[in-house]
Amino acid sequence: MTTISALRLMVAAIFIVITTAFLRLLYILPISSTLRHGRTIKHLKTKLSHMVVVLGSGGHTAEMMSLLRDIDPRRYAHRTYIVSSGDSFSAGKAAEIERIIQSKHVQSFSAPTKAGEAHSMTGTWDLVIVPRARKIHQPLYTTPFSSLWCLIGCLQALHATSKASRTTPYEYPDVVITNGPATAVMVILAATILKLFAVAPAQKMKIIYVESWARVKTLSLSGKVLLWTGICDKFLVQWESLAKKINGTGTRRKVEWKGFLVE
Amino acid sequence: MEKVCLITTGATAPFPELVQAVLKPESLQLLADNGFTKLIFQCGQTFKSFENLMPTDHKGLDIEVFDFKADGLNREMRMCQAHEGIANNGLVICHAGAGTILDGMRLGLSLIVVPNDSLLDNHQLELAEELELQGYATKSTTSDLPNAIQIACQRGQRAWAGHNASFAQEIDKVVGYEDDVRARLD
Repeated sequence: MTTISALRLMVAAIFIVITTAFLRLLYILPISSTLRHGRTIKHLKTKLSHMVVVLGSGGHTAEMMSLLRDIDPRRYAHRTYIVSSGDSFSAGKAAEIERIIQSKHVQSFSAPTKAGEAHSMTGTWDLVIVPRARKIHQPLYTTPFSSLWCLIGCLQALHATSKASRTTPYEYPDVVITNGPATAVMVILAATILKLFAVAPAQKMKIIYVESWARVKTLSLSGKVLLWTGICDKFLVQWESLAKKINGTGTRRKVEWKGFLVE
Repeated sequence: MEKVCLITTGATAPFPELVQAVLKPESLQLLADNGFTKLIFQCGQTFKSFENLMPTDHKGLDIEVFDFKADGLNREMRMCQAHEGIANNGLVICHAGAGTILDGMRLGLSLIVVPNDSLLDNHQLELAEELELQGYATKSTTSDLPNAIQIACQRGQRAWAGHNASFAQEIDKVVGYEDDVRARLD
């Protein structure tokens, strides 16, 4: 008798956990939040925001430089760049992105502020390094382990960056921006996990994905994964042909097209 | 008047077929006929064997060759632009790498895009096809290059100004800054 009731209790408990997890997932996903509020939460013009940008691999990083060209650093006063370990190219490009952003808002501009420095006009920026999801030539069977290691690194990085936030101390970043390196999927997964377990509020860490300009008719692997999971708050493509192909004739638009976002 | 043609194979994969196609007498003759004075080759690993590919008859064209430039091809791209009294509008012949194409389009240069067949990456081919379709570039193959040179010299480049959208505004919408987002009741 006792073993049977213990088993029943277990099954009941598992059902409760699964149902709760499912409902929570529904709650935090972008589709349900737009249904609830009709639209997103409004910010006052004066409120400062913290943005996270995931960089990685040459082409993606070069495109991100162009995407972020007219970011207002007075509004996004804290900018955190996430790069994977060993990617010194992207780490160097973070400073170059900052040069573009800051030069438009500082009179007689000479050089961008260093990581961690604060400036009255352009706020602050920093660089966070996470482990690589998969190294080049790494055997396939070890990939799950290195991916998990990368995920843990991303969870830690997001947690650490919330504590270090200059604009909203002890709050998670407002928005996560990426255009598709493998690390980006892990960062986005980490952000969703934090929201799922209510470590971070559901309205924080809004996720924006921009498909590469080079993608005309098909999505990249990262794009496919992220579209399928539906965890992006905004999914942008840069070619009308691609948007039409994905959205089809249905009324619900899965991806948005606004024109070329690169310059 | 100068008229410069830049040929670039990109930094990642070797593309000797493109270099060979440009150095064919037929292509060189067409370039000379269309008023070109100088060819600049960025040819990566093909640099080592460039001497052997070089024909004896240059058709009067100046030829400059290098493998890579660490700081990019900005200077060479600008040499292809028209400069009042010095140079006419030139041409860029490139592999289908997005970075090179974007750089060329930004400067309003005439582009011939030749996808590298040896790469099993068909999104570069798709990009080249769409650019051709929308009139931003002339798509070609290594064997059809002379024909493409003729077409590109005749039709000129479609400017892509006004086609851009600001990504910063899209971020503002998601974060919820009101001044950029008109209240819209769905």
